[in-house]
Amino acid sequence: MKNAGSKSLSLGAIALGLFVVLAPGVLFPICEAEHLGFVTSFQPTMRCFWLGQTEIILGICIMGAGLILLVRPSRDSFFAVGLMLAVLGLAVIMVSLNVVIGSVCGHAHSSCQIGTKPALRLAGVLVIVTGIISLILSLRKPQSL
Amino acid sequence: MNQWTIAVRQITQNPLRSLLMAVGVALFALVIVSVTLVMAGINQAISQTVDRLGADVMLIPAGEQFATQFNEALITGKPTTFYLPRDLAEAMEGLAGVDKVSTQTYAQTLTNARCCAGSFFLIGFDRPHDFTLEPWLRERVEPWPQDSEDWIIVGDRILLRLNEEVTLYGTSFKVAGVLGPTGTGMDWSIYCPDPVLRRLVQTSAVQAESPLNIPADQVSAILIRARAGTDLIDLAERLEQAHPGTQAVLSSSVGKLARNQLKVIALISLWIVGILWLITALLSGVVFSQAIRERQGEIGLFLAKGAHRGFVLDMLTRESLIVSALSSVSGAVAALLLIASFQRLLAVTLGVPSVLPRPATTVALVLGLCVFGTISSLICSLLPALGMLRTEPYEAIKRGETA
Repeated sequence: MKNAGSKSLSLGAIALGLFVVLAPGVLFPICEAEHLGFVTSFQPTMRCFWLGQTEIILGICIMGAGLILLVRPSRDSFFAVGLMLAVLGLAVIMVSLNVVIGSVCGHAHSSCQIGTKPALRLAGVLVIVTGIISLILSLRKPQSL
Repeated sequence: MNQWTIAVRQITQNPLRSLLMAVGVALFALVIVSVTLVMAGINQAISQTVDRLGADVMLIPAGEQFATQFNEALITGKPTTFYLPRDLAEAMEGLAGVDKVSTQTYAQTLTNARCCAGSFFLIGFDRPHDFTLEPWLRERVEPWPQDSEDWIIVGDRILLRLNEEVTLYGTSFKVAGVLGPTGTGMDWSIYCPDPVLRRLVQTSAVQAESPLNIPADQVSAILIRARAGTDLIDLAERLEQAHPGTQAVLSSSVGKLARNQLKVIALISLWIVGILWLITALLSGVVFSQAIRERQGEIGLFLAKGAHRGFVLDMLTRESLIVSALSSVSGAVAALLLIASFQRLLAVTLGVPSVLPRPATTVALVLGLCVFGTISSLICSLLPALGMLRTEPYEAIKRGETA
């Protein structure tokens, strides 16, 4: 059960990372210029494009952190990865709140506002929770990992 | 060591068993809270739409398909086009019980309009007589532009702001007014004065990718505000009898029609919730029954030492109560978080004005469903315990040893 627990935690982190990677492009797609109906060759880069790119990078980092837990489930790695996940989760939320990079489309009802951002915020909270669980596990007795 | 401590120890000693039961109950709470909140939210939004229509009776061409299309347009802003003679509006102004009469002409924007993705509901309104838009104006230019200029008023959910320019059917329009959120189809609509719309019909023939076609001297709907105390059903009947080929839609029947359309979704959701409740009840019963079978020896010893059957039942009840209550609350909170986070996305996807009821209703529903989930799971899990408690202590200890 103990091993299964740590394995579940690392798989959970990988799944959350995958969700963050897929959210802006596939699951809750951000706005794209071609969907706006421009008939001319003018195809501007939407503001939310950069939000999507940043979240994809953060998602890959979260997956990487989960992978470290899976292949090396030691007490130290649980501590380091726990901290890393907490920071990455916070970064996911801050990017989705436009604290870290620019902004998304100003209209309150665009697809990035009603779909992508809420999904990323929820994922960010879950990543932080995963990080905290990992930290708690690292503080337990060695045999519990 | 009291019964609560024993119950908590039992839960932590068998985490897998407790988790299995908790997951079932949490999933049930998640689904039932989500479905109930969405249904209650949609129902409340329909009532709001009816309250905010502004007109008491609306006259449109006769036919069920027109009534359905009109209803959809009012609730969700889905574009629709149908027409009746404009003269009818003038004939109604002198009728008994009629206070104000206004007309609206319906069209839709082209799918590649530069303002927004998709086609939007374009409504030509009778500015001198209109009584439906003014209460909802959030921002407007002072004074209103002349009808010789090309200007529009946009709903809250159109991607345009005051004084911005937008091209519709090859003509550039200035945004002269923005409506506040109404929670109705008005949020998704673009309004322009009727003379401007008529001019657009002519200019679109040479300036637009495809022309806008609206028959001359025809309008889509005649909106009537009745005098206070007027019998609306009687007024509607009189209007229909006086003008064959038309149908009078009461504001109250708009809500009824919308609710009928949602009936199928509600029925399917009810079946899903029912089946899930059955599965959860069975799962809780089986898991708890297995747990009690494993603990027969321990329970037999309690009884043999003189513990009252009520004490043992109380101990088991507390164990089940902790798991059921915690998982019900977790599922309900998760559902609330999901629905609140994606409420606008769900509203757009389902084509309804909103999916979350008022805060007081939401809190009451979540609390009520948490209690329902906890109690139903508690009853299902304790049923096998009652049978076990009827067994003699010696018999229970013997069964426990062989289990």
